Amino acid sequence: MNNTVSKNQMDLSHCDTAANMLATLNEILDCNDYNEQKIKVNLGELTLTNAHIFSLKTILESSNVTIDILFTTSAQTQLAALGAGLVVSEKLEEFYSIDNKDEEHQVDSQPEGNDKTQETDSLEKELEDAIDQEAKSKNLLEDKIKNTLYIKQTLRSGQSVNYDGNVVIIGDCKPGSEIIATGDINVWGVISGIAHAGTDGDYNANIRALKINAIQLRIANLFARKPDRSKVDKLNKVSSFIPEEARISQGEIIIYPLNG
Amino acid sequence: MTGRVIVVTSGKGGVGKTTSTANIGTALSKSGAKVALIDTDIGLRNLDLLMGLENRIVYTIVDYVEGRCKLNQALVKDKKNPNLVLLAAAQTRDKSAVTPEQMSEICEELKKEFDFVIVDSPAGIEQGFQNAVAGASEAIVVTTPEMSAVRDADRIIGLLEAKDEIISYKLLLNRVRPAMVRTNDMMGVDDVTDILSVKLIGVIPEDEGIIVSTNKGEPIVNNTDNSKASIAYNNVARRIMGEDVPLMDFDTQQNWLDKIKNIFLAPANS
Repeated sequence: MNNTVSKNQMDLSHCDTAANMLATLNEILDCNDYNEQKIKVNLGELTLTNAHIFSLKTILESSNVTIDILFTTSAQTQLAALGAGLVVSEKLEEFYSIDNKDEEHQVDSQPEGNDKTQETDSLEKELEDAIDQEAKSKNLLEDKIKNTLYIKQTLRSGQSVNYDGNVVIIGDCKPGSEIIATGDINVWGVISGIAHAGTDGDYNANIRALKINAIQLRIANLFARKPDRSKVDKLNKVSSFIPEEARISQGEIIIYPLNG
Repeated sequence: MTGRVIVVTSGKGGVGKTTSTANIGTALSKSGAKVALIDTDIGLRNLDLLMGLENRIVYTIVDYVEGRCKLNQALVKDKKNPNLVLLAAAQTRDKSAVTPEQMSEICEELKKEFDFVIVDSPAGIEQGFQNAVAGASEAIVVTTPEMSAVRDADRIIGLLEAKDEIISYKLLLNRVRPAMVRTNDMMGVDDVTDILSVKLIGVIPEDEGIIVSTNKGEPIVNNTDNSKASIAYNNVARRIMGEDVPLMDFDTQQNWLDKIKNIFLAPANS
């Protein structure tokens, strides 16, 4: 079976429907002993609803397995998983990179493995990597268009959104929540948690919200924190907001009011 | 130099573990000792709020454990006391993000550099508690004079006794209302120590100032007004450092109205 990669991860990205995914999941659990592990699950592009995520979680839990982190590129699945309190990432490469490491490990422990295939494998890998990098640099040069994750939900304490692209949130971001994005962050509500825009070094990234009351703002590798003794600790309850935008100006993160 | 690792725990929630950690840590550091506070309540962290350091946290204990930063990068310096640091918990993860082995490794590391490492434990007896006690050799069991809290403290003491690494544990009785104790509406210090038979490290009276200090993010021992709780916490810190400080006499704290009442009640009682 090709489903079984290594001990602490599970690749379900090849499944095309939710039902198929759940069936495969049961199969994998039948043939493998994950025994009380925290595993990394890859769902690929699969679109799942809250109910699907819930069944996934329940099935795994019934086998004493917990999800460490869930990899998916589908925005809907991400949202559903976030709602179920799971840690989500859409950087599938991370999943595969762990994957490779583990495979190498396995090869190490079995020296009698076929050397030839190993060589061709690594060559193929190199080639793929080179192609990947080329494509990446092309992407950077030709179009800076990033994907956008749209979330219609208030982020509460402890919830975290980590996305490769821009993030739009319709709702508030409470203290203790965090948004981490490689692109811009837009919040149709109040940001009171942590927001980190342009994580891969984009100094032009910015953070926009109806009210920025964030405990910390980070753009690229710059960092700004809320003053220690802010006089307006509780938000003034007003019906009208002046939207604000945080961006880098002369090496500092500055919040500008957006009132035309 | 080897520092002392002290875990502050209770079993029951809301009895003042975090408040006590913040105040004892601050009091110790004010007397010149180098102190590191560790919040092990991953997912429900609060110690940073009480210390007013929430906005300075960049890396947490989970970032260190997962290799995203060095240990000294994750230590947040206090605003006032340069020899006080906080190792914050992550808010977006859960207790299983750290293992007891990793915790004791962190404590070992911090022991080299700090005189005191104070570990704030989460409520409960599950993994969070196991993590918190992993690296500790001493424990402070916080309880309030309520039956439920005392029961839970008893359970915790049982668990601590079973751990070989914990060489001493003391009791901190928190939120005592002397007036209610006098009228026999609340368990007194002796009642609680009788039930638990553990040595006391201090008694903290109920104090409204604690609520103010929590909201301000400033431990009450930093206040200059010498409130009862502040004095009591300072005494606890002195006892930890080996000084022999007598327990605070709450009777001298009673107000003039009570005194007059007592004068009239005394003959009737006898």
